[in-house]
Amino acid sequence: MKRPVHLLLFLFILIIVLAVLKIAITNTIATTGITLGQMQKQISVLNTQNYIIAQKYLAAASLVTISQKAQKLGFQSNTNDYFVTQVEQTATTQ
Amino acid sequence: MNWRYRFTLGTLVILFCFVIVRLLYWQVVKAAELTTLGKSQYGALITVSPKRGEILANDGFPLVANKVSYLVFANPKEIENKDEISKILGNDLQVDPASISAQLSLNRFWVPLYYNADFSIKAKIDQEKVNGIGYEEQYSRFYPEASMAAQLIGFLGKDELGQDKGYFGLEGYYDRLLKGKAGQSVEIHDAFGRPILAQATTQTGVQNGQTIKLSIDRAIQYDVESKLKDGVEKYGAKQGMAIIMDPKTGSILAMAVYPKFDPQTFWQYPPQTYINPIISDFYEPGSTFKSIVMASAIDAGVVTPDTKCDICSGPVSLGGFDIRTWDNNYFPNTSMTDVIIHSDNTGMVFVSKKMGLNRLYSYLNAFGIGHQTDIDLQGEAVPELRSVDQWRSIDVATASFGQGIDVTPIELLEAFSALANGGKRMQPHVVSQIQSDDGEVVTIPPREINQPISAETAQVITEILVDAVNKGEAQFARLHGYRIAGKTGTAQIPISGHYDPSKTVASFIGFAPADNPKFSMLVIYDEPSSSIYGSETAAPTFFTIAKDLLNYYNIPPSVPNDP
Repeated sequence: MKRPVHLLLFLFILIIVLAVLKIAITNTIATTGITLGQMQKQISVLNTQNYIIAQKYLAAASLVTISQKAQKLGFQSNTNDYFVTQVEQTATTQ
Repeated sequence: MNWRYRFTLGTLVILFCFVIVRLLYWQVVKAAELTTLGKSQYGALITVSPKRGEILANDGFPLVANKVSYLVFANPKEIENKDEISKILGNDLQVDPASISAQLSLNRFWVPLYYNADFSIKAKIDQEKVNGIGYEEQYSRFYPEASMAAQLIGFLGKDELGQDKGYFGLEGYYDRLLKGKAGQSVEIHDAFGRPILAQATTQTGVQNGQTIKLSIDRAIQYDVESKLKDGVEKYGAKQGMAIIMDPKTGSILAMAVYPKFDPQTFWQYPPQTYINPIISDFYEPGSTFKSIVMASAIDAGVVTPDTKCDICSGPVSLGGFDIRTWDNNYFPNTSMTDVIIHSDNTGMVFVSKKMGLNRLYSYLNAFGIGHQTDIDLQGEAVPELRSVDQWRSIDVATASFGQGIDVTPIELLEAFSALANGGKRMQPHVVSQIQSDDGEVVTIPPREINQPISAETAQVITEILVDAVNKGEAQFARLHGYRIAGKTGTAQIPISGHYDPSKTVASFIGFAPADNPKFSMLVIYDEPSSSIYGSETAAPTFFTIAKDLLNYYNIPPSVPNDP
């Protein structure tokens, strides 16, 4: 008779503990929606900034921009080409 | 007592059954409807637009990317000094203040003021601190290299439903691949609109567009466009085109057209500029075609480089027409090599007679003349070859020197490039890789179509074309120190049933280095006014670009002491 009573008591206590735990966790995460909202907003802002920075970078790195800046700096097209050639080494017998 | 007990029990059971039936009705029959209603109250169903795929050059730099842009809208009911605000916004948005004023005078809560505003414009408007102005974030196309390769790329417009759609070029051909698939997102939020963590946002079905990587070399494309623009202006041409291809793989390294348009503001340009003439316009190729016909004749064994022409001492009469050389100079008993060097029309008539119609027709088909190249661009046209029974003897003769036969520039370059690739014809293509959003990469391999001529014939015709460059009309423009194979072309333009001698399509086609070609190239000027000849217009441009290309590829001169 004692064993079923102990088992029932244990189950009863377990139920109470789990119920309390559930209430505690639910309370804790109930207000995380605010944080989640803020994080989502920040992600959106950072994504937008990413796109804007990428756009600025691409515009600056384009050949059109580089060539215009090079002209302003005084760079000129190469007109004379020089090639340094080396006589190929050949195997020789001694 | 018993009957009271049974009556009460029966009543309670009936009531219970009624409740259960009602519960079944609301929880089973009406379940779907109530779920949707509930979600609409606490959840938001949002359509997620996919990000359109980018178009990259062969070095991975985007020729077409996406940028953040803004739809600027206003709530007229919140704006008090409408005239003053119209002037401020008109200045910031660079539009007529009257159009802003017209929108603000509407009796609405929401009016659009400007589409596709840049982030810099948004920042300017923010500084004005105007009440009642809002922004809707969108994505639009951005071209870091401005109008580079405009006709090749095409542009992004709208369809009848207002959805993004690619037109012309790559944007048109690969529209479905680039566009991706829209999905849906369900966001659960509380009464204050804050998201609930327990039910995280679920996003289903969205697939971003795939990115395509081209074989186009940005540096080469930039150089070619610059030289082409200079050439069109210098020679007073209506239009200029240049295509550069790797003959061994069919990869297009550059494809330039001038004049071009700006894809960012395509609506400001005449619609005819959207068309890529390299794949869509046909023309009579003129003497550049002699290389194809001569290669065919040598491969067929009907002539050799040393075969003598016995009808070349003067004009050739055929079918009531007199066929003359371009400069009325005639070389009796000229060799086939000299026929190409002197671009001798009468010598080509001799070759065509040796070939005969059926053999010539067969080789033209083998070289892809009259067939689409199936290049991966929207808008390719193909001028079909007339059927064999429609050819007269004069047609065979004129086709041998590239008149009376139509080709597109890409068709001609594809055929010619077989001479540079051991006789093997490769399919031209612009896209080399397709990259999906999850990192999967599909490489498009080169495709050999057929082998119209043997490797030996290709070697023979290469030597003839090297002689054509060194000793022909273009010798004064040629690049010294290198063996370059090529041929000039000056084709008269047919107008109203006759040829106008003052209007030509001037061209030069060639490949270099002749012994191990790194590139093949075709340059065309449409109706140059300073000179009608290809040797004086297209050839100098060809060699200027070729010099830059040989330097770019670090190919040293191979012919010492070449004065």
